[in-house]
Amino acid sequence: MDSRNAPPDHSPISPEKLVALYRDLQRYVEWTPQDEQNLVSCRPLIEPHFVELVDDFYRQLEKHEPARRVITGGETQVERLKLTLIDWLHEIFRGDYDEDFICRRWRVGWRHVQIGLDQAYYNTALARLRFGITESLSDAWEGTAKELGAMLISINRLLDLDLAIIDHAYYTEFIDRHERAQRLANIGQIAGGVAHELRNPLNVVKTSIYYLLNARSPTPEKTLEHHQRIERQVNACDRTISAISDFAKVGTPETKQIKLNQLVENALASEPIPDACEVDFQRGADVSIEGDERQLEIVLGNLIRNGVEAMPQGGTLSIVVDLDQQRPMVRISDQGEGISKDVMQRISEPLFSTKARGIGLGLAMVKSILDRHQAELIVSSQQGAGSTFEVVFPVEL
Amino acid sequence: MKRILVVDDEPDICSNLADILLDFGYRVDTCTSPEEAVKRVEAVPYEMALIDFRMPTMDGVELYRLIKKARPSTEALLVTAFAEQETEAQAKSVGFRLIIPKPVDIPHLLDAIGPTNS
Repeated sequence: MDSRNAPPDHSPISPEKLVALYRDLQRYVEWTPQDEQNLVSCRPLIEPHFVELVDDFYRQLEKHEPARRVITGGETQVERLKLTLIDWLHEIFRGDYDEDFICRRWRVGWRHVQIGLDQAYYNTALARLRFGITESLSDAWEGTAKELGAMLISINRLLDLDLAIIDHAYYTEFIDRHERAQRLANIGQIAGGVAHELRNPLNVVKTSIYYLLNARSPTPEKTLEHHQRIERQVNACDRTISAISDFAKVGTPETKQIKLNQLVENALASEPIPDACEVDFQRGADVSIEGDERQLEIVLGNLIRNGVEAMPQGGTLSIVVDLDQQRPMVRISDQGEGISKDVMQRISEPLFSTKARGIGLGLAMVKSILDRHQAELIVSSQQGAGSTFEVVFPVEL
Repeated sequence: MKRILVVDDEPDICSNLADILLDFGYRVDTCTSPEEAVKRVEAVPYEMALIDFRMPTMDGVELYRLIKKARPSTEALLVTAFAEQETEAQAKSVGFRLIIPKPVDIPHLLDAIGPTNS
């Protein structure tokens, strides 16, 4: 195919996909070779009206400010656009709806998005053209009304397909723009969180190195301390990077039977609990679940850590394993300050955090893993009294 | 001798700045919580405070407001890993002498603190 007809390079759709879509839509409207033939046979009747149809089209457009303002090239541009529109009318009555035709139509849609024409105006403008074609053909028709009806159905089928392709271009552009904006917003958030989580340990490393190189009277003990700090903080950097890459690669769960009580115990064993906090773990019914052990340990680990961090002054973290209407569940409750309404709404949003430390991936990761296990996270909180996080698994089969 | 208070929720940073500043001949105290810092300032006339911006219970700007209330003569530098424009504007309005980015460049910090004698 002619490369000039391809959708623009940055468009997320390939000509092959576009053609596949078009063919599928043709099947949907039950497009047949007869339709193609109908369009071709209408051509001699409708062709003499092309100029007047196109003039009417642009006259109407001129009357509407939102549509008119996308034409910035004045009279010359309008004349050029009229020729393009006449070309298109020739094309639609030619009966050859190949890859070139489809890609050209898609590019027309894309171009309209770029110049900022509201989709509603595109649709109404095409509707006006449709009426004009219908009227001109009806006036010129010398056959039976039934035959005319069949012709009009074929024309409308083609115009509807055309509109679907144009709509698709609008939609693609919308998604594209939305995703770009989202990516930029996320990059901003990540930059803040990552800057904090890496520059703090780097700050320790850099100042320790300064001390080691420049201190006027370093004792051997001090020198050792600084080496240890450097090691500790390099590990902290590494943990941050692991957290980000773990989040990025939470994969499909590799499931096996896991005993829920044991899972909680394993998670508890790998989470450091500060002296001020006490853990009250009530082992419940001996239930098993289907799940990915490593991923679910991350879930419980995060919930335990959050619970503990919610109680900087100390308190009891209670963990209960139970069955809730046949569904295995783990309930983790803290005695912290609770979660405000505003925060509750954003709690599992990636990169949202109320903590001075951390980049806000914990609960987002919890949610993402639980979704993959068809498990639910139910959060309830009472300000001043504490919060409860319940992980509820699907019914055991 | 100039007395300096370092406030940062990361204990290693507190120790490092203390080690370095002591080595250069300043008198240094450290706190890992803003609340403790306010109490310190009430008790001791520090000439200068080095304050971290992002801390769990209160940010550095808020802390400096409280410090100034307790002892208006205390000068301060804000030390931060990530300064958004908004933070910079807040820091200026509350009277921080300077914002020092992390990781801290020690010669730059020493310049900002000034000579050891007050």
